[in-house]
Amino acid sequence: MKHFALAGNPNCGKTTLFNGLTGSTAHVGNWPGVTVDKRDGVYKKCAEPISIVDLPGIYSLSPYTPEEVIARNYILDEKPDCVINIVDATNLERNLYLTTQILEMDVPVIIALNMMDAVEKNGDKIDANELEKRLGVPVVKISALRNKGLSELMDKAYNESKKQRQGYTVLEESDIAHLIVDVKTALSGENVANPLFHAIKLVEGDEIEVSMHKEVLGVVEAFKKTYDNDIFGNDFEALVADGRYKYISKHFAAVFQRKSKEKFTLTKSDKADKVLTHKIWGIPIFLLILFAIFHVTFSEDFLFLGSIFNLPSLADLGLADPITEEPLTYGAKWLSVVYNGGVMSPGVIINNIWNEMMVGELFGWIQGLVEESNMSPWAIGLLNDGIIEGVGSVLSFLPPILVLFLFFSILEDSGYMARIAFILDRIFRRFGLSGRAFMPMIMGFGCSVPAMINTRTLADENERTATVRVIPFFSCGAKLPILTAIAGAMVVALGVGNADLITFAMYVLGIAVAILSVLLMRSTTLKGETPPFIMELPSYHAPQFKNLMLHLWDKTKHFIKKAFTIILASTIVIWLLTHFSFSWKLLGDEQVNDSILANIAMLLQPLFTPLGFGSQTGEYGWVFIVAVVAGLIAKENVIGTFATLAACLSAVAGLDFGNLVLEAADGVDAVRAMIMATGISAPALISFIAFNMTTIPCFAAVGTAKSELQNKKRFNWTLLFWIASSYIVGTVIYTVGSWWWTCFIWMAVIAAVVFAIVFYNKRRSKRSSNL
Amino acid sequence: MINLISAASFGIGEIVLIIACAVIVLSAIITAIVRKVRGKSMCGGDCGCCKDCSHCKSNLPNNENK
Repeated sequence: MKHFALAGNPNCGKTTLFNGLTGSTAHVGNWPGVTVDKRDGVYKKCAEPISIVDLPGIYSLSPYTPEEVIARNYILDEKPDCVINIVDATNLERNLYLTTQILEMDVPVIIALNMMDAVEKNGDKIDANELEKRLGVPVVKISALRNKGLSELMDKAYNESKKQRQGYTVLEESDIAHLIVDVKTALSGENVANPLFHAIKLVEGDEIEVSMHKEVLGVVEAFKKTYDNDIFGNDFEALVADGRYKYISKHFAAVFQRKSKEKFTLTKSDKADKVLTHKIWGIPIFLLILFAIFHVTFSEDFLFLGSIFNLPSLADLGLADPITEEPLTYGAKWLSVVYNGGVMSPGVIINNIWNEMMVGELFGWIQGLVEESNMSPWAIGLLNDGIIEGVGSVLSFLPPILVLFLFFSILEDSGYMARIAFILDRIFRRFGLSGRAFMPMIMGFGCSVPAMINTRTLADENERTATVRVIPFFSCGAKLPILTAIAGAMVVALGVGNADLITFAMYVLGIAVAILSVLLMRSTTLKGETPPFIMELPSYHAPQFKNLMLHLWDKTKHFIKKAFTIILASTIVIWLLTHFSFSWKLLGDEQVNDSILANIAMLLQPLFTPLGFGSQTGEYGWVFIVAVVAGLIAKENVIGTFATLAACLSAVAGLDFGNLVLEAADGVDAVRAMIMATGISAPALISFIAFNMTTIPCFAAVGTAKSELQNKKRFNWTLLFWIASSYIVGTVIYTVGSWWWTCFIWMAVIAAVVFAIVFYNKRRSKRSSNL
Repeated sequence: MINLISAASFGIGEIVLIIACAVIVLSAIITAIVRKVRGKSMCGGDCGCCKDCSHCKSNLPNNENK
């Protein structure tokens, strides 16, 4: 099978092309660094199947970043049959810099001139035939986004792959041309493959080349002693770069004909960036957009119309029971999906349809069948309370997870997320945080695992460790059920706040804790230089509908798969451990406090007293401890645990659940039951959310952190960091929320810590300057 | 165990339920162990991008990768 490689600058459309050729659903993020490793697929529409490798985006083949090393090593060592160099046609000159380096290798090359749709839309023109003549390799115009020109590209690439090609350099006109020839001759004498490429890299002083070809280095060093350039001295790397750009400007400028005679015109993206990346308004706009997303996903009073116009609830209209708030007729039930004292937001409408009309009805029907069966009470309990309640409550959160995932995907694919990193870099650079570190953090909103993998793009090891540690603080999709259920229950049971406001506040809290933690680490144990952050801001563009839907479908499949595997297994185990005593006596629901799980959790319960969900939650408060531990397997298990145990607690005599009717597969009701059973306060619930958001993430994320950190000591400290930070955050929230005056104590503690750090750093820098 | 057997009643439905639950729990545990041994990610594909996840591929045995 032939092997082709896709190489090009970041954001030139490589992964979009890769997806188009291989039918893959590889993630396309509209910022550099999404691809941190190569990925491969197969193109089947040629004479024979062709393996295609999507290399990370690089600006050059110099080994400064891991992506450059990966791409360069792949082309040199794996020797692909053809390199398809994707060039962003809207940015020809910058993209051709890499092209001039690829052409120096003895490998068949074809240029794919991508984003031609954008070029044509701007009214500009590119003479591809002239470009082909000047480059000496085939040039094919394509639009990966619109799937245009792909077959022609692959057919030409296939034909090129059958030919042998000798590399050539554009530096033949430069002062150091004869030096390059001498070094090339020396390398050819030693049978080094791609001698021209290696010769130029050696002349540049490339670290890898210098270590590999020490014997030829003498030729370069001897020449350097006799050479001096007016501008660059004997900085050959700068000389080579200058030589390349001069060649590109001289020979390729004429190929591109701009419609507007002005060299620099403001594009639509530039105009949008004037507002969205404004140095004062950038962050408030980001927070507003984030709030709008949560409002559209979670609000039960969309645009606050209910509050503004004092709209009546269904109970006020006589359509629902005034005590239980249950709709009285089928029509009222349908109405409650979209309105109940306020207009429901689109996310809530979808959620209500899914839960009230689909999952709730289906699971309720199944539970009814089970109840009417002749099975033993314990079997009915296991099926209905353990399995159906547990899995159903988690499945009930599928719509908000998908809606939120959709919005974050739109933000990412449109190019806006890259701007966030840019804005945050401007503010936090002075505190030791570069924008490059924010990009993996923002990915953590989806899932911590790929976000931690993405930290490979960070060159500084300390910065990388700090980033891996705080990624879990950016609430992933799995934590959303915790947020949604508890926020929803707080609003209904305790009459506190709005669900969307609480959820938004928790997300912002996670971001704030992450930033503060990184600042603390970068000032103390993980000090280091703040690396420069240079990023090409990609143009804004509307995300591809097909890609979005494919990602949503992938997410749905994996969520449902997880619900019926890990979560199902967890709920079975939890039900078993809450229905057997240590002597393996089968217990009824009302004897849950005598169970194995309850007794173990009761031992740990006092530890969580400072956080508000410990001893003060009474004899049934251990459910919160069980939920936290179950959440280590998968964060969705927290709500699944509540649902399983709520059904048990509802059978306990003496527990008053008021007008709460535990419906099938309703996570919010499960949390309401917990609130009523334990009397937990609002600050303690917020503390519980915050604890779950900042504590040790799921086992998958822990495993990823372990493999990414590769240092056992650092990993152990990372575990300790997660436990300590979640404990402190939870304690602060509970104490300040319960006794407002404790905020002064905490402020004093924080001030003392900051003073100690500043004092310690000053002493340390004084000592090192004395040395 | 004697308490368990004497306290619970077992019809066909109950036996099927017990076997099904045991299979589910054991499968989840064994799958996790096998995935770990094979170097695959334990994330369960939550990001929706696992088909091309470099984390899985980089840990696969060399011959499978090639």
